[in-house]
Amino acid sequence: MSSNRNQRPAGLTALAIINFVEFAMGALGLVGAAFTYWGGQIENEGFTSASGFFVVVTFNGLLCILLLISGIGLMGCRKILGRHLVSAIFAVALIKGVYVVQNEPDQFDLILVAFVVWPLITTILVNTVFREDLVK
Amino acid sequence: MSESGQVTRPDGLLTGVRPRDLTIIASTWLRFAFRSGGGVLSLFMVMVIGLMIVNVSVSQMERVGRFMAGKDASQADVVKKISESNVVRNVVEIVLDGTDDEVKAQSNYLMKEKPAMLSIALLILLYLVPFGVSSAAFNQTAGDIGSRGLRFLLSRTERPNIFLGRFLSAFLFIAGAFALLLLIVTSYLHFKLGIYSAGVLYGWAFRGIIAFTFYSMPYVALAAWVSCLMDKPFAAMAMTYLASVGSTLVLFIIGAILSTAGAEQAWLSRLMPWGWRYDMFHNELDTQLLAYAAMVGFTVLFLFLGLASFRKRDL
Repeated sequence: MSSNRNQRPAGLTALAIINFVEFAMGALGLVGAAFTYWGGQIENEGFTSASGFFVVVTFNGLLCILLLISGIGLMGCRKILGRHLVSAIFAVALIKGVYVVQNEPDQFDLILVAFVVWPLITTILVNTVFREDLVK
Repeated sequence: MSESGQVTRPDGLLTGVRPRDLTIIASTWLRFAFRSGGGVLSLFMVMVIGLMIVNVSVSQMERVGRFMAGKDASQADVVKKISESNVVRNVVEIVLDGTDDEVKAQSNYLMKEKPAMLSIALLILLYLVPFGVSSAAFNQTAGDIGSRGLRFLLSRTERPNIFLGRFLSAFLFIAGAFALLLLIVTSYLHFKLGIYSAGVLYGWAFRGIIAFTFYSMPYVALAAWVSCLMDKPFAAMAMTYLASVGSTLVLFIIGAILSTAGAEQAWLSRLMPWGWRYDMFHNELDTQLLAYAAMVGFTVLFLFLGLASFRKRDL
C-alpha cells in the first residue's frame, strides 16, 4: 500500500467525478432558481416565503462551491481541500436539511434526503477507506 | 488408490473451502471494491439514483395532494386516496403484465392490503437491481486475473475460497445497500406523510428487504461467473451488463415476436430471475415461496457454472 501512496485510487477519482456531477446538477438548479425568481413563481414552487427561498438558494450555492473545491481537492489527494471539506459538505447539507424540514416542509423530498445521505457516505469513505490517500 | 497406498478422492467443487479464508477474502475485497471505484459508483447508483427514481412518483403524488388538500382532507389523506385509486391500481396491473384475475388480486394486495406508496416504491426499485448489482459485482475476479494478482492469493488459499469469498462480499455489500435504501424510503414515507402505522409500514419494508436480498443474489452469482471468464475489468463490466440486462432485453424481444406469431411466450421471462421478481410480492404464499426458490436455484446454478469455470481456467 505504501508504495502506491502517490497514486490516486480509482475510487477517489470516482468520488471526485461524482462531486463534479453534483456540482453541475446544483449549478443547473441555481439557474432554475433564477428563472423561478424572475418569473415570480416562488410561491408556486411550494416555498412559504421569499426569504425561505433565498436561504435555500444560498445553501445550494454554498454547497455547489464546496462540491467543486472538494472535487478538485480529492483529485489532488488533499487533506484539507479533500477530506475535511467533504465533511464540511455533509455538515452544510445537514443544516440545510434541518432548515428545510423546519421552515419549508414542501421542499422536503427524497432528493434532499439523497443529498444528505450521499455526503454522509462520502465522509465515511474519505475518513476510512481513503484516509491514508488524502494526506497532501 | 495412490502409489503410497492412501485413498484419494476426486476434487469436488467445494474442496478446500475454509470459513476463515472466506472471511478474510470477503473483508479484503470490500475495501478493494471501494478503492477500485466500482463500489463507489454502485453505491451512488443505488442510493442517489434509487432515491431520485422513487422521488419521481412520490413527489408527484405529494404535489397533487398539496394542491387538492383542503378543510376536509389533509395532504397526507389526499396522497393516500390517490395511491389507492383505481387509476394507480390500473397502472400497477399494467406493470404486473396482465389483466386477469390473478393480477387484479395481486394489485389489490399491493395497493389495498399493504401500504400502497411503499408498494409502488418497491415495484419501481426492482428495476434498479440488475443495474446496481452489475455495477457493484462485475470486477470480482476479472481485474486480478488480468493483472496476475490472483497468483499471490493462490499460493495461500484454494480457488473456491477466492471465488466464494468475493461472491459473499459483493452480495452482502449490495444487499446492505438496498436494505439501507429501502429503510430510507420507508422512514421518509413514515415521517413525511405519516399515513400508515409504523408497524405495518416497516413490516412491509422488512418483507421488501428480504425480497431484494433474494433478488440480488442470482445477479451477483451471474456477475461472479462472467467475471471469472474475463481478464479485463471493462470487458467484465460490459459482459455482466449484457448477461444480466441484455439477456432480459433479448428474451423480451423474442417474447414479442412469439406473441405476434400467436405463440405462448409467458414462460420465456422465467428463464431469468427478472421474470420471477413480482412473484416475491404475490398475495399467495405458495407463489412467493416458488419465486424465492427460483432465486436460490438461479444462484446455485450460476455459482456452480462459475466455480467450475474458475477451477479450470488459467490464472
